[in-house]
Amino acid sequence: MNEEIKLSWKGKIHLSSSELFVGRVVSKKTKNQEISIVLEGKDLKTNKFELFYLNSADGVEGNSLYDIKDLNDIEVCDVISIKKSKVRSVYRTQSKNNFIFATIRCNSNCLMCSQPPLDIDDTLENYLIWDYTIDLLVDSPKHLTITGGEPTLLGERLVFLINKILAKFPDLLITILSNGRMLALESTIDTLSFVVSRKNVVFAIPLYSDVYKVHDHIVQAKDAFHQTCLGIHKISTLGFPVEVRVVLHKLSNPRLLSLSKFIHKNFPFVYHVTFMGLEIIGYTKANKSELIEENTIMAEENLLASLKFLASWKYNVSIYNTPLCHIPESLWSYAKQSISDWKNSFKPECEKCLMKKDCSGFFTWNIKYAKVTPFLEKV
Amino acid sequence: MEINVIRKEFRKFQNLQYYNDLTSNGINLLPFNFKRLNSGKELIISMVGDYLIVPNGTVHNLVKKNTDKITECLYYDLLSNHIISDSDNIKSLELLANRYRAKKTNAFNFAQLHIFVITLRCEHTCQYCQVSRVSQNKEKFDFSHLNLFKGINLMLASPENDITMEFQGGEALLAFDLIKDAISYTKEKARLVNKRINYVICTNLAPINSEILEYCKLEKILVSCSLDGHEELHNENRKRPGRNSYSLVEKGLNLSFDIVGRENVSALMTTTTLSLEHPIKIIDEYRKFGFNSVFLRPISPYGFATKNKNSNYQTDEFIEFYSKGLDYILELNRQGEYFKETYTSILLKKILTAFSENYVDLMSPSGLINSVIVYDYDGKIFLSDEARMLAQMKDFTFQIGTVDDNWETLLANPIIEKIGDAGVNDYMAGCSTCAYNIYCGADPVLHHATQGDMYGFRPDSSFCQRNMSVLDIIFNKIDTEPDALEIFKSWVNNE
Repeated sequence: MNEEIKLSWKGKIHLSSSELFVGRVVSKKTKNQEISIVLEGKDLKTNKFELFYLNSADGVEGNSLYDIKDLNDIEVCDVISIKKSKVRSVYRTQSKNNFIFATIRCNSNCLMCSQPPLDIDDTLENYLIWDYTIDLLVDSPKHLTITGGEPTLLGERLVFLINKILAKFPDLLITILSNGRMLALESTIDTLSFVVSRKNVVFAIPLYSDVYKVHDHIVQAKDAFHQTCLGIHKISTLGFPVEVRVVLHKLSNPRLLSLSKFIHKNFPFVYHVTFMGLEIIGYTKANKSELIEENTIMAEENLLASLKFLASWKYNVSIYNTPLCHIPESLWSYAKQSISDWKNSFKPECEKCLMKKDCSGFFTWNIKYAKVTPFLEKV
Repeated sequence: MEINVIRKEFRKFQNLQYYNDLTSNGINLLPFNFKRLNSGKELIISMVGDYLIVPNGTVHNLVKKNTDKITECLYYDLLSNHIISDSDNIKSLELLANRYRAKKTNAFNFAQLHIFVITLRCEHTCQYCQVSRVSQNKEKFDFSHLNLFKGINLMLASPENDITMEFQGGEALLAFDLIKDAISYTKEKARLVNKRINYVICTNLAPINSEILEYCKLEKILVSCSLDGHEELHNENRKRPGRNSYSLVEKGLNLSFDIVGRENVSALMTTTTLSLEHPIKIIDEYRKFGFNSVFLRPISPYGFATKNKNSNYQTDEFIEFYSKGLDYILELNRQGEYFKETYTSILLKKILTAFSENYVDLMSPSGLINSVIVYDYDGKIFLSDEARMLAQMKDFTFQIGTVDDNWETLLANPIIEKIGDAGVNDYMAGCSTCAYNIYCGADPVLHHATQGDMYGFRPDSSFCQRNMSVLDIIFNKIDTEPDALEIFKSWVNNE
C-alpha cells in the first residue's frame, strides 16, 4: 500500500520566519533520522535573496522552522513556499503530476467538489509564488496542470504565467482545469487571446449533462450550462484544444449517452472526452446519498454505450480514476492511469493482482470505501 | 470571517427544481420542422439539423404546450436537441448561431472547383450527352491558348487558396497537349500567389495510354472516368464507333490502377432509362473493378437529354432504382463488405454530424459562385456545368461573362443577385416548412431550366421530389432497420 505523498507541513518558528518565502531545496541531510533541509530563494515581500532552513528536530540560526514532521517527501531541487509557520510543496522535481494551484476561489460549487472553494482572494499570492517558481525551474516539467478553484479567475495573471513558462519550456504541455463559465465572457476571451502558444494549452472543461438544469444543479450555479457550452465554443475558436470531462455519479449517469450525442453534435472539435470516477472527499462526503450510484449495472451499460458511441465517431475517449476490477474487460482499453501520484493508492490485496501495473488504483481517500477483486490469473 | 463559517455557508446546496427555468408561460418552441415516418412516428429536425424520432402526437403536444403528456426523458431530449426552450429568452442562442454557421460554412467561401471545358470534341456519341461534338476542328472546339491562360489568371485571382482545377470535355484527353500547357502555366503562376492546386481530368478513358498516365502520376492528377454499368448497358449508353466503349474503359481502368494507383482513380455513372432495371448489375460492376462506392446519379433533366427517349424518365422511376440499389448496398455491408452510395453519404454527413458537405446541388445558399465556376471552351464563364449546357440551347441566363472580364465585372452581373435570392431554401415557398430543409439545397439553374423560374414550384419539382424521397428512405431505414445507423455512420467516417 502506497503512502500518500505529503504536500504541506506545519513547523514551529525558531527565530524568525517569512511572510512569504519561495525557494529551491539546495540540500537535504538525514542524520539520526533527523532531516534538515536548506532552501535558497527569495522573500517575496522584501524581494531579498536569502536561505531558509527546515528541520525535523531543533531550530538553527536565521530564518528557520523546526519540529516539522514527515519531511521525507521533499527532495533536492523541489520548490517550497513558506508562509509564517506553513510550508507548502510548490514543485516536485521527481513528479509527473506537478500543478499550479491558481486559487481556492470558484464561481461554481459542485456537489462532488473534491477541493471545496473558499471565498478568499489568494490570487496575487499564488501568482507571485509561481511567477518566481518558474525562474527557479531548471528542467521542464513533463506536464503541468493548472487547477483551483477556478483558474480563469486569475485573469491576466494566468496569461502571464502561461506565457512565461512556455517561453522557458516551449515544448511543455499544460492542462487547465476550468469550469469554462468565464470563457463565455468576451473579456475573458480577450485576455486569453494574449496566450502565445495556444496549441500547448488544453482546456479541460467538465460537462455533466446535456440538460441545462441537471448540469446547473450538479455545479450549483444557475445558467452554468449555457455559459460552459458557449465557453467551449469560444475557447476552441481561439485555438485552444478542448477536452470535455464528465464525472460519473448518480446524477450524471442516467443521461450519459445523450450527453455523448450532445458533445458530438455541439462540440465535434473536442480532442478528448474523459469519463472520470468520483473522488470521495470534500463535498462528495456530504452529498453521498445523492451521488453514489446504487444501480451500477445500468451505470455500466450507459458508460459502455457512451464510449462506443464516441469511439465510433473517432473521438479520443478515456476512463479516468477507475480501477480495472471496477469496469468490464471490454472497457479496459479506455482506462488510463490518471490519478496524480500524491493522492494515488492501492489496497494491500492489490499487491497480488496481475493487472496492477496497468491499473489506475484509487484516490487515497477512496480506499476505505473501495472493494477490490484482484486478478490472480492472466486475463 | 472564520474559515469554518465560510465553509458552512458554501454547503447550503439547492435542489434540482431551483435551477428550473420554466415559468408559468410554459415551454417555448425553437424553430423546427417535422414530418411523419412510415411507422407513424414523427421525425423532428431542429434548425441546426439535429433530429429526433418521437412518438406519434409529440408535435401536437408541443404546439399545445401539453408537456404533461410528454415523458421526462423525451422532454430532456427535446431540450438538448434544441427543439424547445424552458426560458423565455433563449439562452442557447449564441451556441445555435455558431452551429448554424458551421452548417452554412460554404456561404462564406468562393468557388473551390474551377472547371475548364478544355475541348468540346469527343469520339463518343453518348445518348445523354448535351454538348459534345464529333469533329477534328480544333480551332473551333478547343480552348485557345490565349483564353486558357486568361481563364487560369482569373482562377488564380479568386480568393480561395485551395483550388481544384478540373479538365472536362468533350473528351478532355483529345486535348492532352493543351492540358499539359495549362498545368505548366498554372503551376508557375500558382507558386507566385501561394495557392495549392489539385488537378482532375474527366475522361471516358478511350484515349488513355501509359504516357498520359505517367504524366498524371508525375503531376498528381486525379483521373475521373465514366462507367455506366455492365458491358451491354455501358455500350448502349455510351455509343462510339466499334461499340467498344466498355472494353476501352476496362483496359483504361486497369492501366490507370497500375500507374497512378487506385486511390487516384474514380468513376461516375449516369442513370438512363436502360439503367433503371439494373441497379444490382451496375453496383456489381463497380465492385468488380474494386471500387467501394457508387454514385447513383440521375440524368440532369434538361438540355438535349429531355429530347432523348432513353433519358426521359420520371423521378419516381429513378427513386425505385435508387431504393433497390441502396437495399442491395446495405445488404453487402451487413455481410461485412464496406461499400457506400455517394449521394446518400453526402446527405448522411449533414444528418449525422455538425458539419456540411461541399456538394453543389445540396447547398443553401446554392453552390453557384461559392462552390463552382465553369470556363467553357470558347472563353465564356458560367455559374455551373448545367448552366453551360443550357447555353448550348441558346439560354445564356447563367453566363456571367467571358475570360476577358475581371472578377469585379463578372460578379457585378445581375444574375448573381438573383441567385442570392433564389438560392436560399430557408425562406422559399415549400422549402421553409420542409422537415429536410437544413439537409437540402436550392438549385436555381435546374428550376429555371425545368420550370422557367429560378425559385421553382416545389409540388412538381423533380429536384424536390428526388431529395424528399431519398431522405424519406434514409430516415425510414434509421427508424426501422436497427443496424442501418451503424452502417450509415461507417460511410460518413469512410471506413
